[in-house]
Amino acid sequence: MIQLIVRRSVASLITIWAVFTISFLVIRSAPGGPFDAERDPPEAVKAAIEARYQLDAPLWQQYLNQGWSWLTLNPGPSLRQPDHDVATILAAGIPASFLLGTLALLLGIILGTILGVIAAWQQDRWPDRVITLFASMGISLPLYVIAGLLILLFAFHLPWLPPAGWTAASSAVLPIICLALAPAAQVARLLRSGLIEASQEDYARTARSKGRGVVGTLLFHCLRPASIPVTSTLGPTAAAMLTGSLVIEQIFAIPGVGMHFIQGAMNRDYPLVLGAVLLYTILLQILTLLGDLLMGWLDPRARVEE
Amino acid sequence: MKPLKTILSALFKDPFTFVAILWLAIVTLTALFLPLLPLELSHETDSTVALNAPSQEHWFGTDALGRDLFSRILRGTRISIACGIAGALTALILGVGYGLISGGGSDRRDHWLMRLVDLIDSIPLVFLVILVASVLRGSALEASGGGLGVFFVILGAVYWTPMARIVRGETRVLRHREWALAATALGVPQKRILWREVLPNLMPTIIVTVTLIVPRVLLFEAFLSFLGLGVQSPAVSWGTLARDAFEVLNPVQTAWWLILYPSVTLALTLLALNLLGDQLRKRLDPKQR
Repeated sequence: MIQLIVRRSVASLITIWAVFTISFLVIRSAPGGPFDAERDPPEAVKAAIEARYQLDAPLWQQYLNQGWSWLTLNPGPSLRQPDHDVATILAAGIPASFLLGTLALLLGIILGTILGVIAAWQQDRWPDRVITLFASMGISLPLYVIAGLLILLFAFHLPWLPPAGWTAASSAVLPIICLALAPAAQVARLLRSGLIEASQEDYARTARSKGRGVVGTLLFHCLRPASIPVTSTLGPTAAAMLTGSLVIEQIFAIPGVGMHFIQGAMNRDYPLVLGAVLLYTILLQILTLLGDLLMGWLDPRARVEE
Repeated sequence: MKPLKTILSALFKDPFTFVAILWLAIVTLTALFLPLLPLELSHETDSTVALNAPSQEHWFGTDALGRDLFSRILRGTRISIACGIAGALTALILGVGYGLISGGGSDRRDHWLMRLVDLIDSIPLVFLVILVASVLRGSALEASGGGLGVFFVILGAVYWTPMARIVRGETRVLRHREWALAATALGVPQKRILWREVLPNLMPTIIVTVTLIVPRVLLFEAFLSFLGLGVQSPAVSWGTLARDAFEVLNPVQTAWWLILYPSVTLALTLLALNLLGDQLRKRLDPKQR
């Protein structure tokens, strides 16, 4: 167990280091500096700017300096909002993004589990077909299509919910639902096939012959083995939700990390973009590790193998 | 592998698959031959007809600048389809090449090349791509029109690892089959065996994988363009059309057609590609048959 955590943490650190190095090289190899768009400043001003952002040092020194400042969580000011520190800007976005992501993930798992169980129970009958159709649409459609249709329906056609913003609790409903649909569809699909497979195992038949009902067998005997494939995709699902949150924060004007990230990318605010990329990478590594630990708890075979 | 004819006739017999193939053919042909089609397309801005609902004159309505949405969707089709094809081709070349080199080489080389793929897969490439897109923004490369080309390659570069994994796995199995061993015994060089014997046998797997990569590239293009980091104006893609639609979204005047039509076009194409990919897998993959 501890060995697994240590080994995975080392792998995560290598990944994070690789992301930092690639990002650093990409930014530095950019044709022209981030200030090229401004009117040509006098030489002295240009030199002062470059000195402030350490753009005049040799490449390896910039790399080491930047690496150190990120390690100590002191990445310096943003390029476009020089009065604000990158860490402060990102930290200001975390509460909204965290709330949105966690609630959407919870809703997605709950909804996906319910739908998956219903689909497996009603296999090949109309509820199953409807759920399977819904799941394949939820996976294959872009998020903005779903969000656009929901806004048209529930914000404009039926004026029940606000179409954008992050003020009242009601304004969080639509974004959370939109973000939860894709993981719900994913969970429902995997759980359905897992449950159907498990319900043909000997232990399921034994449970049925003991007198346990169909739903009872599914819930108390098949759900745990069937949730193993679901857990193993927690990493990719989390990654998809992080990308999804970029679109959702844009559409619903939510002041989260994703909004700052995209804003920074549009403005070529490299420190801010690099910070967001690192933040997302670390988050993803943690979530993947959690998924693996959860899997070891669900499936003893995965523990032995590691 | 079954003869191509049998597979095609089986695909055409299934009504859903037939409709999917028909739709994909229409979209691809439109993208290819758009300038030759007998359609009156106007790309002029005309403020007198801004945000008009669908009518006889403008089938899909007009956008905020009075441009005909139907014409814009057709133009967007060209770039979106080009992105899908170019991205899939990049993934195809990178993935198949890497997979053959890794799976066809020594165990040691295979091990390290696959560890490298593991590392790449653990990197959230989407965020790095956004970083690259922001670096490319307003650079000399983008101004010269090379930005779109770089964009295509980026799209493919994101999705090559699954292809590499699949090709590598199959190669390792196939090169130990009797016919490959026989060729080795006859003194055929390993490279030639990989290229002339193993690769043709990989074709069914490769075709299925490519069919399933295209929709993912299309989705990714739409995602980036929607965020404003992909295809840049004046070029149009299905993603930028959706972005334009959300910019004028307000409760006073609901321009529903601006969201609906580009979205439905993209959605139908994605569903058709996924359906075709699944059907091809059923017919071509020996394990699924």
